[in-house]
Order: sequence, then C-alpha cells, then structure tokens
Amino acid sequence: MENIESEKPKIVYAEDDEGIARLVEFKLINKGFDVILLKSGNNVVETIIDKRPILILLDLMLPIKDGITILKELKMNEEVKNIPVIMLSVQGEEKIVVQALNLGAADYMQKPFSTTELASRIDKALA
Amino acid sequence: MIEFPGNIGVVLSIVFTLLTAIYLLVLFILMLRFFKQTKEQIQKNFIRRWEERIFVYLATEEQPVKVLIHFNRYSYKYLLLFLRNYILALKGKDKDKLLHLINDTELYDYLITQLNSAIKRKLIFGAYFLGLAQSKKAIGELRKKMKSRNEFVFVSCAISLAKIDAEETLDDIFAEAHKFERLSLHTFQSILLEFNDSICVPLLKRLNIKTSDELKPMIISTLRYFKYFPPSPDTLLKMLNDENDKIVIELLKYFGEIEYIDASDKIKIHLQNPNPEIKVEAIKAIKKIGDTNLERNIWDLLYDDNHNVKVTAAEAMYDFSDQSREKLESIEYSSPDTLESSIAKMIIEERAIQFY
Repeated sequence: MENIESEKPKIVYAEDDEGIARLVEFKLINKGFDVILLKSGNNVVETIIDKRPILILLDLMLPIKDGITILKELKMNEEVKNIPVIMLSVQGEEKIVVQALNLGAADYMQKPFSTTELASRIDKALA
Repeated sequence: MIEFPGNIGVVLSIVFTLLTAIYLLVLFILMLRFFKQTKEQIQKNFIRRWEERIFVYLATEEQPVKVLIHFNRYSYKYLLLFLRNYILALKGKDKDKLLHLINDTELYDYLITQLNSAIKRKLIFGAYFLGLAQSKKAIGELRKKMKSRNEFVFVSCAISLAKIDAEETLDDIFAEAHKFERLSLHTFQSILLEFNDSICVPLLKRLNIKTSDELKPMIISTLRYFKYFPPSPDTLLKMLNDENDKIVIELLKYFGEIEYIDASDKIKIHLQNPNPEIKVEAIKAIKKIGDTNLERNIWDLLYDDNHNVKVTAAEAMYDFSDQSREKLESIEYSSPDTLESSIAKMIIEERAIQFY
C-alpha cells in the first residue's frame, strides 16, 4: 500500500519530557498542524531533512545530542537552514539561549511556558 | 536411608539453608518487581485514559467540577501526580486552570483529608500538593499541622505555606523551628527560599528584633538570594561593624551581590580585617561593586600574608579594569621569581584558558 503522507503543514518537535510534548502536540494538532515528536536528539536532523517541516521546536537539553549541536548542523545544511527554529530552554540557560539566537534560531521560549504564548510565537515565526 | 558422616551433614544443611535463602530472596525481588511494574502500568493506563480529558479542559472553558466527574476518588492520587508535572512545566492561563482543578473541586477536600491523616506519608502528600496548588484556603489547616512535633511534618507544612506565600505565618515558622534542635540552617533557609521575594521586608525587620546571631547570617543570605535592595540599607550597613564574623561575611557577599556602591567605604575597612576569610569576601564585594577607587587597596593585598587573600586580590585586579590587568601582567616582569609574580601568572593563564 502506498504511504500517504498528511498534507497538513508539519512541525518537528524534539522534547524529552513526554507529558509536555504530548500537550504541545495536542495544541498544535488542534491548530491544524501535523506534529512529528522526537524524544531525543538522535536522528532529529535526518528527520527534518526527510520530512521538511515548516517549523522546528527544539529543546536545548536533549539526550544523545543537545539542541545547540542540532541547531548548528541544521544551519550548515543548505536544504533546511531556512526553516525557522524555536528553542525551548529552562531558567539559567540564558548564555546558551544567546548562543542559539546568534546561531540563527528564530525565537526562544523559557520553561515554564504557556501553550497560548507558544502558539502565538509559532504564528509569529511563520508569518 | 543414606547416612552422611557428621561434617558432610553440616555442610549439606548449610548449603540447603543458603539455597533456600537465595530462593526466597529471588522470589522477594521478583515480587517487588511485579508490584512496581503493576503500579507503573496502572499509572500508564490512567495517563492514557485521562490525558486527553485534561488537555481538552486546558483548551476550552470547561468547568473544573465537570472534569472531575470523570475521575473516581481512588484515582485522585494518580491524577494529582499526573497534574504535578504540568503544574511545574506550565505557566499563565494553563497553570491557573490546573490550580483551579485542584482548589475548586473535590481534589481539595481529598488533600485536606490526606493532610489530617494519622499516617505521616499521607500527611506529607497532602501538604505538598496543597503547597503546589497554592491553596490559600488551606493556610489555616497547614498552620495547625505545622505545629507537629515531627520535624518532617513541620518542614513539609512550612514549605507549603511558603509556596502559598503565606507571609503572615513567618513568625510561626520561626517560632516552631526553634523546637527542633536538629533542624539545620540549610533546611530552614530552604523553607524561606520558597517564599516570594516580598518575604524580604519582614525578614529585614527580623534582623532588627530579637533574632539570634546564629540565624542572622542565614537571613542575610536569603536577602542575597532574592537580590533584595532595601529602601534604606542603614540597618544592614550598621551590621557591617558586627563582632560576629559570620554576619560580616554574609553582609559582604550581600552588598557585592546587589552592587551597592554606598557600602564601599564600610567594606574598605574590612580589607584590613585580621580574619583572612573576611578580607577575601571584602575584595570580592569591591570587585562586584566595581569601585575602582579602591584598586590601590586591592593591589596592596596581593602582598598579604595569606595565600587566599593574594589569589583573590590578583583575580580582582585582572577583572577590575584594563589598567589593573596591565598592572597585574607587568608584575611578571617587574618582580620575577616572587610568589606574587607566580600567582599573577597563574591567574592570567587561567583566565586565558577560560576565554579561549
């Protein structure tokens, strides 16, 4: 059987907190997106190259490969470097956030966050 | 029947006993694993079944009472544990809705029942979640329970009151804490740090009244954590003359943290304090405040008798200004083969590695 891919715009979300990942996924699906959840930094870049999402939500502290390394790899790849990336960080990671913005991240959200605010940041990044 | 010689019989009975013990131990471990897995499975099933209901509640205007209709009382414990993760990870409207789900439904009554339980584990569970849910209406109950003779119960209730930001209970917390001789200052401070930064005003007042010298450094350290900038720092400035070294050390750290330039003159005196620990903190405070007028005084301390004072002075010289850094660098050539020169070299090299 032929694999029919969803025509909805895709968002890749790499997050190791499963509960929060599912809540954000729920919110984004209701906004009309197709969400690809990844629990670690493993294969994030490959998935993005393969799926070509319109936006990437990237947690800074991911197991196996951290958010900054992934961001660097994305920005070095001609095919996906223009996809907007929103970084998610916890308090106390301000220096890394600055590094992420310098590397070309479109925006960042600090945890704890509000899903409403996240949704509006996504709208802004896609505008 | 086969008869074994005496020794073999003893050995066999020991082996048999050991094998039985190992068998029972393995059985016990397997049972523990089974119970753990069953518990985890119950939690997972619960999460799968109710997750979407909570997500819909967060996304709509559904009333919290209506959401709870779908949960039976036996599942409240799991529901609360499930909500905990989201309460900690979310803010704004999402968090408010989750707090309403606890405070405006039967979950609140359930937690009060837990808090009043004779079983310590349940009581602590109730106290923890009432604090997490910032249940202002539970302040009275928590305050009563805080008067327990049990240290764990006291700490749990006090932390919850702090999370609720019940400033009016601060005097009670101090009074009750005295009952526990083994309560560490570190634990006491961890209670105070759970309050909102507005707790600094009553804490500052406590420094003026009958507070023991033992508690004062902990209070000052709490003010430093909140980076509290008092409208009038006179009380704290006067305390820089205190005879208690621990108080002075905490004050130096505090004034450095809030970068209070008007404290410089008083701090300057401590650059000559006979206690090297105080000298070190005074140098650090001056560096943080950035009072370049005291650069010369810091430079002199590079020649202090105490090694830590010398190192701290060299670090301060490196960070103070471009001129002070050049001066530190020049010592390598002006006074080679001296202790001061080798300390300067060490600091310069360390910083070069840090900024590489």
